[in-house]
Amino acid sequence: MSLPEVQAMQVAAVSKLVSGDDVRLRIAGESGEGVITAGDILLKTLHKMRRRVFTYETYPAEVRGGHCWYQVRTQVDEVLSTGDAIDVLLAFNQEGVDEHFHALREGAFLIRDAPTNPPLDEAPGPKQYFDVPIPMGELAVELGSPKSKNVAALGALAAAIGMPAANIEAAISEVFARKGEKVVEQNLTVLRAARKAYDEIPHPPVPELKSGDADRVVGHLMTGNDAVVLGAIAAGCRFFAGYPITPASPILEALARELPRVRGTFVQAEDEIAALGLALGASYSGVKSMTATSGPGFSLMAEELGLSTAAEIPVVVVNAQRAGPSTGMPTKNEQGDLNAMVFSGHGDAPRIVLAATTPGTAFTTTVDAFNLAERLQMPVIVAMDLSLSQRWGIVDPAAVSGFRTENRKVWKPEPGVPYQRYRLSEDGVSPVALPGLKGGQYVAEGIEHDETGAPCYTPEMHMRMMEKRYRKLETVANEGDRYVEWWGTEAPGNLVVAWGSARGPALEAVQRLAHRGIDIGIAVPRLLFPVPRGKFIRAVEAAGEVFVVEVNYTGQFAGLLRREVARPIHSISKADGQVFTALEVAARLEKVIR
Amino acid sequence: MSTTAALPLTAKDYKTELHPIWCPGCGDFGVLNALHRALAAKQVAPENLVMVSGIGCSSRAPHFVNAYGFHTVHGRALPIATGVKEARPELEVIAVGGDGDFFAIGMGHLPHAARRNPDICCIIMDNEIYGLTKGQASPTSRLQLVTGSTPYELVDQPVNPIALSIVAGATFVARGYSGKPKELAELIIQGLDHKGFAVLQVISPCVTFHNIFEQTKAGVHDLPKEHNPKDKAAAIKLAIEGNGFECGIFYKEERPTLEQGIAFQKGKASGAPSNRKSDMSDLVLKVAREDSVLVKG
Repeated sequence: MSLPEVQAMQVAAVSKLVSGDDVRLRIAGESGEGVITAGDILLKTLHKMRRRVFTYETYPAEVRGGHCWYQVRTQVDEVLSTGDAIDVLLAFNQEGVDEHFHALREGAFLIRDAPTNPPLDEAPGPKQYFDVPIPMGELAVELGSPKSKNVAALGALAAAIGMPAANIEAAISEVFARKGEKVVEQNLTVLRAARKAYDEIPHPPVPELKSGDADRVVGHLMTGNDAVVLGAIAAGCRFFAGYPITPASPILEALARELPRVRGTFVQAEDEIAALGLALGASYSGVKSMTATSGPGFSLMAEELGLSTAAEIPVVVVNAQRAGPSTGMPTKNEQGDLNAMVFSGHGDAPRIVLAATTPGTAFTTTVDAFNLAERLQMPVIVAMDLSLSQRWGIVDPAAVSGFRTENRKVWKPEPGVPYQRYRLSEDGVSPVALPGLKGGQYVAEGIEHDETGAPCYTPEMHMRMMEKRYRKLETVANEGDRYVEWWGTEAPGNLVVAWGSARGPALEAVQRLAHRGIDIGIAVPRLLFPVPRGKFIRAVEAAGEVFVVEVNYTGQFAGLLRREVARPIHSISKADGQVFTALEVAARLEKVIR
Repeated sequence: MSTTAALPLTAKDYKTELHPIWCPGCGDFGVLNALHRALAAKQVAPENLVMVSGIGCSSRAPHFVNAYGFHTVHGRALPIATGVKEARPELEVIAVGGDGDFFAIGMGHLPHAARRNPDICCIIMDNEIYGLTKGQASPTSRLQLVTGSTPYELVDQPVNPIALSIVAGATFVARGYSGKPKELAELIIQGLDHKGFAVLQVISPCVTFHNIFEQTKAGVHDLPKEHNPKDKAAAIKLAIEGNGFECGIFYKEERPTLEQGIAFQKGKASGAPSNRKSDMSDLVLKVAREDSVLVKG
């Protein structure tokens, strides 16, 4: 290629990058090289620019060593998925270059640590790309801050794509503030030196990366797990017990820190059985309670979930799913626990299963979960998954200031009327006495019982209590439409249903197909069980074709839907430990739709 | 603890209308009787008492006591009781169950309750057998016992509940006998008075599947008068060298309770700065509304 040709290609690449408003950045390196910190700085910078982000990180299960990477996709408006081909790769080492080169789009930027070699000519990847070797490690060492290799990389990146210096410097100051002024200064020095190093090599002109409108609401930046924590505290949760497990541990750590700040109680349990037991004991006594876990821990909780149902004690269980079965792939993504969340345990034990779709809805869904648990006095499970738990996103300030909370119906003494804890009622809910209330003494029972709570095994009473417990599900199913998000035409010929983190790529795929004139729409229920009635189920019945998009092997929500409607349903599922991309979903849809 | 000064409650006031399901002659009647007496002696307000149990014959006890109760699942009385106590420290909490509950399926919880030291009185009715399932060896059954599950004699060494509890960190460890309800009531009173995790193993024989009343009656005796319950090494020695029939307080120490520990943590947290890693931490105090809290912990 002649020099003018190369320059023309570079100009085209950069202009596409910054005008296209859709930038996909990937940072790759060895665990311990600051990949995750670099990603955090990057997204704080973009947040300051009032842009939206979608992050995705993968790391090895081992604590030290191993390859990890962090991807940030940014747009001015909401970002729905990780995106397809990469625009800019920041490679901290040779493995970073070699492992990810294939993911770059044609004309992408490869910003790599100078001692690394460019990919081999025959390596699969773009035919043309802009190679930017920057001596990241060397710069960091020279400037007396050897750990700042990642910041050097960001300096080059900021220079290459035109991120305002003020924004990235502010982000760096924030991230390193805890380590003291000296560390902040050192990092800023490295950042500026790397920016200069980029400026000194021949490069295409750099227009400024667009910021969001100055008057737009910035929103609160947090991870999905953080949003669960905030939602729980907003809903009135003042007791948490948990046992560490990936990827739910950040919820445990955040609540260990935050709950006592609001006079709440945190207990680290000896196992997940104890965790749910502690939460049930606290809730029995009247304090709203929660536990959070992942698949293996959730399996251990099965028996006590049934106790929550039978004894009618509200509790919220967050299940941050990861790839199963058994230990499975603890640091990989999957939505494979739906069947367990709906059906785990013995007997007919109704519970409610909600699924968050974004960090923003993780806040709302957690508040909803507490409200339902309180109102209906039963267990509510909040389904998260690894990618959603870990990814950063925006929580709408209106949601944070405008939420509504509910408390359980508490028994009030009536003269001459003996208290019946499990009094049969139309909606299955009976007022509960809390310890300390005189005259309300009763025994909460896991054994089948009569209305007073006394053990009772008559056929009639067992039937009545079963009906009582299941009537609560009727209430939720009938108001189910309030938990469904829609996009596209009202009665579409092709209806896509997606839940949890699959919502983003599915929605993006649907939008792409709709843009091409295909008659398609999407429904995203945050209530998975009971399956929402009303508009949702009518749309499923009426559509020409129905597709369910989810990340698990057997198509578990498709299975649940088939129990509700007598019609064929296409399952678009996969279980490879990764999230769906919009491209994948669109391709799978098109195989059927044509 | 609130008390009713005007009308002193008697043991009868702590009974309920439900009649125990236990076999006539079951040791658990004696334990229940002693518990009613102890509660009357302490004038515990029934509405401020919570009894949490597991599953088994003895775990039915909450139904026979005028109090709030939670009859849970097999083995999990201690975590659930701890949840009650830590959420509402002002409540009096008793955990009850049998040897299967606390030393088999729920064994994993007992040492953790012991080291955390919640102010809970744990009454273990030990009959050395699985009675509700009609007579299989339990973790406290003695070697060579022939039962439904050990037709060729039991070969598993029994658990030593007293030594185990002391080593795990329980701050009050005692043994009583259902056949001596007056002395047992006294031990329960002391267990309730104790600020911390009190383990009270009660020999409570099963008349139907493992009737050891005669041996127990003959064997039961008080701990040596000169034993100092503050002497941990001596307490463990007594527990290890005894034959399981010594009754009295083996061990007692004062240590901060879990409630005190959690109150300490809350003190340290009040005014703690938000964590700048996430916007969440900044917002926590803003979203923590009083009206969304049902009962303040």
